[in-house]
Amino acid sequence: MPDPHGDVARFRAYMAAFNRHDYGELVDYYDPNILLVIGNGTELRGRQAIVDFYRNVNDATTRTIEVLDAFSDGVMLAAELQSEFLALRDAPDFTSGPMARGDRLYLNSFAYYDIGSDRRFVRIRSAVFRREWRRAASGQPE
Amino acid sequence: MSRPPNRRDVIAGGGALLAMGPALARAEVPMQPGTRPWFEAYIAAFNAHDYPRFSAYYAPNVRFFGQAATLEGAQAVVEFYRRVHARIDENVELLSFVSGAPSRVAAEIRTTLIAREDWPDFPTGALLRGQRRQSINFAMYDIADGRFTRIRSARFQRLPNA
Repeated sequence: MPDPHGDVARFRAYMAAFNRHDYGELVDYYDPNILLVIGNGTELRGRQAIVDFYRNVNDATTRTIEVLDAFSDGVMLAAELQSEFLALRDAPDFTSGPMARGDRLYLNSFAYYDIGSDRRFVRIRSAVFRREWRRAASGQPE
Repeated sequence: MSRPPNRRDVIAGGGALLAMGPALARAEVPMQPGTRPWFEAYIAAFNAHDYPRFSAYYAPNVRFFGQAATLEGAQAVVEFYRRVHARIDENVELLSFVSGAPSRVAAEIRTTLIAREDWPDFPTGALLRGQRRQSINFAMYDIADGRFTRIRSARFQRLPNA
């Protein structure tokens, strides 16, 4: 039975787990056959592929996500997210562009989460609305 | 500019609907701001180039952050689309809709552009006459008093030219 309010509460708990890098808890929110599609064209299928991807991202950077808004109709949840990436070391191959240690990248993005019958996410898609770099060397936004 | 349709309009038209028969009356839905039928009516008016009707969804000081322009004010948005539609056939298709009514809705929209003439400096890339371009965009609409106060669009995918 659709539970829009419950979906939003679960989504916020999911994001809290994400920010803690609690991968063990994270996978429980994903359908085993989940599809993640990021606006840059990256597609990942399955829980493990997603966790491996985020482990890799979080190896060179820390990513903190703030939920600016989230609402659900019981079938799909829409969210506006503010992500901050902080480079812990030089990351020349970072997915959004090279980062030097101390650089920060802020992404404002819109995301959709398709919700399965067991309330797990079956598909996640996101698109970047605004992107802002703050380089450690200059301290100024780009 | 006229105002967007609301629940009162539908109720006012209810007598005529009932006269047509219960099946049609059941098909009618309240046009409450932030609902899917209300938003679909906006999309239909946009695709019909019904400027008075679709601009009625805009607050006078609406802020518009589209793929091809950043604008402020309902009049500026309408003028922008009049200029675009003079040179491009544009169709938008609602793929997904999530209501955060009454203050916000999210829409997944497929936009199809077909250039009626060359437009070398079109903001999202040069277009040649007859060229077709499609994209899928995630849009957020902030709503106050039944009108859009802010529209923001994020590119999800540009589809291969057909």
